[in-house]
Amino acid sequence: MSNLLSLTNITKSYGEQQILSSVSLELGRGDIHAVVGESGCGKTTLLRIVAGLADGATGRVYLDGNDVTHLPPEKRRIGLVFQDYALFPHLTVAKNVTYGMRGKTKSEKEHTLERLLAIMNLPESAMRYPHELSGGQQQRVALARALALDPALLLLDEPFSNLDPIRRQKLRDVLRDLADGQETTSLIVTHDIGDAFKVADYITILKDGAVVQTDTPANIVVNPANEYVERLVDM
Amino acid sequence: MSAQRVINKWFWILGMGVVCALVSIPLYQILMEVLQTPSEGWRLLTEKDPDGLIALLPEEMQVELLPEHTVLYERVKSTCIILCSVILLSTLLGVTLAWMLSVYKLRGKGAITFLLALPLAIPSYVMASCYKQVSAGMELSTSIYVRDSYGAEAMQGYDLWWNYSLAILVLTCSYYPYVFLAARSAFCSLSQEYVESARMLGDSSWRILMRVALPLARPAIMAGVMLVALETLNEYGAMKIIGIETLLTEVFKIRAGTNDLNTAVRVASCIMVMVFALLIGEQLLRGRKKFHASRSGGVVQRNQGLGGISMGFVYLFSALTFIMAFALPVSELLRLASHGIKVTELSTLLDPVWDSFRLALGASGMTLVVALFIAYANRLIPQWWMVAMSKISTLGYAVPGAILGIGIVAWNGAMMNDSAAGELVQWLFYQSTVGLMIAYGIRFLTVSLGSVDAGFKSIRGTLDEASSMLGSSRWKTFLQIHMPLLRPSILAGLLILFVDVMKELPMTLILSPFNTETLAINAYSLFAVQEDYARGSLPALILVLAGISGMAMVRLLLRTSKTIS
Repeated sequence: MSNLLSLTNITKSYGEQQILSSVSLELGRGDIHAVVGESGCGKTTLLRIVAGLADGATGRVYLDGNDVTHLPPEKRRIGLVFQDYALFPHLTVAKNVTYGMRGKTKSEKEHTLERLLAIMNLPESAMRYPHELSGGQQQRVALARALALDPALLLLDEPFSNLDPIRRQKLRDVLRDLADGQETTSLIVTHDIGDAFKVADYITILKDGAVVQTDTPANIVVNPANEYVERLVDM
Repeated sequence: MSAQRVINKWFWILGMGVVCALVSIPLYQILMEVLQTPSEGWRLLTEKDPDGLIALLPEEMQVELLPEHTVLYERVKSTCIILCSVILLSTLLGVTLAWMLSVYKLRGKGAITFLLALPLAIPSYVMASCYKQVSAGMELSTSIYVRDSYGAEAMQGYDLWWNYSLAILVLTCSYYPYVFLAARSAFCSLSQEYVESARMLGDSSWRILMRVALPLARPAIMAGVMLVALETLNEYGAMKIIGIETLLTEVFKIRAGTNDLNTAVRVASCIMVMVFALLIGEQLLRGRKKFHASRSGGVVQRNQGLGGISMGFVYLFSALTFIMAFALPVSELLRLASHGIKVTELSTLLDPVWDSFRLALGASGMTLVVALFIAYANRLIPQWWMVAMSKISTLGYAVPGAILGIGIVAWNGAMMNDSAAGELVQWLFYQSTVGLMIAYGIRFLTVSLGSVDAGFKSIRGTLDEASSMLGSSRWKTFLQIHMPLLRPSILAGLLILFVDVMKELPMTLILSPFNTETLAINAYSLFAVQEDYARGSLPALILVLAGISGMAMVRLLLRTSKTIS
């Protein structure tokens, strides 16, 4: 099966500071791929380059075989869940989730909304506003909104931060169900390797903007590329 | 709680009570006047044939002579036409400029923003006089054309249309900066993630503006729109100069003519009904929604580029607005001053300059002290009832200045008796400088309080605690810790208030003592009463210069002030 996402030699600098250095990555269809690293290692910048929100980077981004390097974000069919969810506070849950569904009929929107709210376990929340929901519920609404457009790729920026262990498990279950049941390909950025181990099919470890190791969780534990990875795994 | 702390607490509560009482009294007096039996003057405004003379005439003559509507109806109608038009145009202009100057990459954005806010330095009655002069030639030639083409009967309709158009243009030019500055501030603090979310979901720039940015900026835009509405309802000088009869010009007409206080108060209360309707309408529109749009990472950090033609359009649009709203009126003032002023006449300005300066300084200083008192009281006693009292103390800003003035005059009238309280009220408020300063304080307390409150909120509570742990009393902490840190906020509040008081006209006309003539009254009298535009240009220029200086200094203060985290 061909890869869904292919990053080739992505390099990015802010002035004198090198943020990313020749990062290359491949994501298979239906995979959950985690990018792990300390704060400031460039993982969020990498995510934003894939989404098309960061410019000034060199290298190529291929999505489903197409070169999307210079394609604007609204044309890439990528869903993005921000770290603080970025739900529109003036819109209800229903309006947030169906926000991007232009050109769809009312019944299509209602059907999609009902389906996604059921998957996210938010059946009675359609008419509520974001500020009336808990943090975990807001995250699930943000996820539903990103999925409403049936994206080729789902990006999640630090989805596990600010969640308690039970909610983290729930989110991992949701992502796993999406990958197994709907073949949703996800790229997750996180600083917590434990969360990555529990949910990801593949993990890329970044240090100072460069890829240190890309492998399955099992191989990373058994064959860490260097001392840094070993230390990270031990943590 | 110790006895000393109990006394201290009651000191703050009583002080707040006095402030709330002073603010509420004019409104209470207006309400009391309205509840009394209407006087004869009210009948003249609300009946088509108040004297019953037209009814005595033959029927065919009655039809011809009976007015279509009552005087009050006509005043309400003209007020509503002006209000709705100015709100609409100010909002369109202000929001468009704000969006262009916050989203797109442009050279000189800061300078353009400052220049587009400069119309606030020109009092609206000065702008009206300038435009009346500038458009006189055009008005004459078009009126000749209308008369020749459509006959003399069309002239009345033409005159009305011309005056309305001029009034709406003048007030839009004067007040659009309120919406512009509020909208720009909201757009600049809009979270970049909302915009990026919308982009990821397929929205174009236009759709992002309409579906995300505008709704999220709505509270700030509405605050700007409310200011436009309140200033328009409080507009007297410009309306008088241009020749539009509104509710407020009717109030002054009654005061100058029959001095029928009851009728004047009733007409003023019609304006208050409009104000309350606007305030309630805004609250109802807001509903359950929240508009948390202020986060880190504003729109301004990742501006979009513009093509050559689009960028040219933005600069041209901004330049045209600046020319219409500032450059044209100021250049007309300079032209008038250079042609008509004799050097010997300059000495006649000394008294108005002194009167304006001492009133503005006294009022702004006094109001600042009260603002510091209220802000500190809220810091020491953060209870819901203290917050409620603070909100009551700021009611004065929602009341047009002329109506506050009428309310104070009504209160004077009610207290005209031989009791000690009556004598104190008359000594304080009746035709007195102190009374006028207190009235300015009631009107503009919000301005000072906003600045001081923001300053206090930026001082962490742990600083107070640290000072207390090191043995300092509250008073010492206030003097040695708070005051130095509040200096930029205090100075900014003082400057804004100083300029506002200098420009103020309607309330000053009603309450100023006989021997007091401010620059505002001087300029207005020369423009509107004596129609001596050349002589009027000098006090007007001084007011404009004071306004520009104040705005420039506030901008400098805000830029150089340190942030206390």
